[in-house]
Amino acid sequence: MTKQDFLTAVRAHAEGCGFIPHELEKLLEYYSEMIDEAMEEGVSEEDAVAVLGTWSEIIGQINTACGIGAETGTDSTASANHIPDSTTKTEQTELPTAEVTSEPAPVRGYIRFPVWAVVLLILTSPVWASLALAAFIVLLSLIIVAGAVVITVLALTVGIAVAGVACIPAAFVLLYTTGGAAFSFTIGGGLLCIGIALLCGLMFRGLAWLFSGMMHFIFGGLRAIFY
Amino acid sequence: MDNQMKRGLLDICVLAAIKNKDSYGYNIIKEITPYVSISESTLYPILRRLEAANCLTVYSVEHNGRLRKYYHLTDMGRARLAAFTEEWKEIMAIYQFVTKETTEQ
Repeated sequence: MTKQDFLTAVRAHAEGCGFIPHELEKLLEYYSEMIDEAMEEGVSEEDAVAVLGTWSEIIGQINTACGIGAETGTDSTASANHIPDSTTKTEQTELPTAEVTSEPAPVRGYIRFPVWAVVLLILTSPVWASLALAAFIVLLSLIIVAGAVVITVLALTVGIAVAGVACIPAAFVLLYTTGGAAFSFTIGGGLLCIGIALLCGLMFRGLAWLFSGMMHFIFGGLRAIFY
Repeated sequence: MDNQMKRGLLDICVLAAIKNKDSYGYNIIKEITPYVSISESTLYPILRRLEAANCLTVYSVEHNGRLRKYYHLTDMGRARLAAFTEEWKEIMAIYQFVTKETTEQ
């Protein structure tokens, strides 16, 4: 079994046994260190893990040492914190039942989000949350405006194109009713409209490409920030 | 060895292992093993118990890119070792008595 599998198994099974997270982390750090030390001395990862026993043996031994499930008259608070208490010698000092705090600045081998950072975030939330909300709204407005521009150009294109196209049959009608000059004028106007519509269409294509580029940039940025 | 007796003695052995110099878990096991069998799983509750009783303190030192926990004997731990040696002077006396050959009658 690999070191990681072993630690995962211990963690998974210990979690159901009422270990408080702080104590569980210490346990895992201890075994991780034992494995690393053995490997450093040339023992294979497989052997280093095997010599520790199975996760059930380990959890059983810890529980026994803490007097859980045993009739040794242990203090229930100490058991709950999984700190073994001393029942062998009567002259030993009374065990503090609170969580152990004698360790100087706790340094962890595993990456954890520090408690002080979480508290700081909560305390300053009125400031950063409002700023974040404002930034979000500005971004949203930007997107809406850009979208509006693109849609307007599209509408323009379609409108002009329709007008231009409509001019052609209209021109022939005019040719029949009014005469050659009206026909020429209308045909010319229609073709002009169609030309303008084509240019607008190109502009729309360009703007749509820019807009989609912008959206990808924004969402890419957001993904990078939050993942 | 009697289990109950062994349990009490192991605490003392661990304290003795860090008496002259701070040491780390794996090394403590290596030092004690010649005298009494101890496994990693046996050592862990002992260390936690001694720490809770303020007989030792723990600190971490970086070693080969990982953290190694060192254990340091406190004054209270030293006092406990002293109490043990005192107590065993009595036991030694009793041992002498028990094993005395009744030659002088």
